[in-house]
Amino acid sequence: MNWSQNYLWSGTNENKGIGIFAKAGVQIQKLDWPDDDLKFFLPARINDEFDLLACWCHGAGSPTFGYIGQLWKYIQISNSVMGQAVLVGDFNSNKIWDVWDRWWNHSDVLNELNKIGIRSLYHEYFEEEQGEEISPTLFLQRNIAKPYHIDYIMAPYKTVSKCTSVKVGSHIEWLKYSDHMPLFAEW
Amino acid sequence: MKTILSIFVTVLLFCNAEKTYAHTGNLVVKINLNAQQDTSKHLATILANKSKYHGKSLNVLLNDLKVNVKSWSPIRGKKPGAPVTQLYFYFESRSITHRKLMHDLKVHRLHITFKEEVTNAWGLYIQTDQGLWNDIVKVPFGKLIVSDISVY
Repeated sequence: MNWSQNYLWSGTNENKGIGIFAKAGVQIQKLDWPDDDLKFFLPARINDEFDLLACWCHGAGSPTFGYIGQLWKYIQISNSVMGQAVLVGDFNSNKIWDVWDRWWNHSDVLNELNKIGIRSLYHEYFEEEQGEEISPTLFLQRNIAKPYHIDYIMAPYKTVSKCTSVKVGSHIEWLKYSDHMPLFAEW
Repeated sequence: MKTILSIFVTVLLFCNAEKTYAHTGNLVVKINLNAQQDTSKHLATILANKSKYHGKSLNVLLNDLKVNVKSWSPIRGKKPGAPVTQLYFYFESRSITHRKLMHDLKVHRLHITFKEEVTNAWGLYIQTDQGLWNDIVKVPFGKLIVSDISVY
């Protein structure tokens, strides 16, 4: 397929990992940000215009810092370089699963990102509160009775303010391909 | 700020005969070492006899506990929205426990795995003001069948 000719990939193998796939002609240059083997993060420079961090927050076999804990740790070691980055992907996380006995909850990650000027495009655009999203991005087990919002596009506020469109793909169109719905944004 | 707090804990942690004082920001956590050791020994005994509790309702374990549960938290499953089958139980207030965890101080915690799903775990978590141990959860949790026990 033409769209898959221009891509970056990082993962355990060719079947498990995270990729950035771009149209032909779009420059995607892998960045060497520290990651301490946290899973799975793929930073790239796009058209020499902005940095993109593709995220798949994985359990990573960590009894404590799994899923959103991986991103929380990533931010601790890379926040100095990711201030102008757009974070995109499956965070496997939502405010509804915050718990009091950890400090790397979804809300903690949002606070960390907010400190460096990064916010959720979806929530800013639709003016929805975290944890109260109307549009799900995941239908667990492809069951429309089990909707969750766990995928995000996080961007610097200057990008948020220029954003002209945010859209979550409809399950009617996309459920046959995946239990995750695509997120679209234009700025 | 976190760095500063960590330094406080490191520098101001001191002991006398019975007590340790840990400064965690504007909160001073007074730790009775004797009570800590008693709780540790007691939970170690529970763990050593955990076969007694396997396949039994949580109430059997709770009745044997000599320390009161103060709070709890759900442990999410591998997939978002997957059924919760594991809970943590704590024996001190949430604020003190949270600060201890953050500063890597000793926290007593029971990690219970149940044979079945903890029905409406996240709803109960909200109803109990995020993990207070009270009558809202004592009855439904007490009936759950224990599958495994760990102690931290």
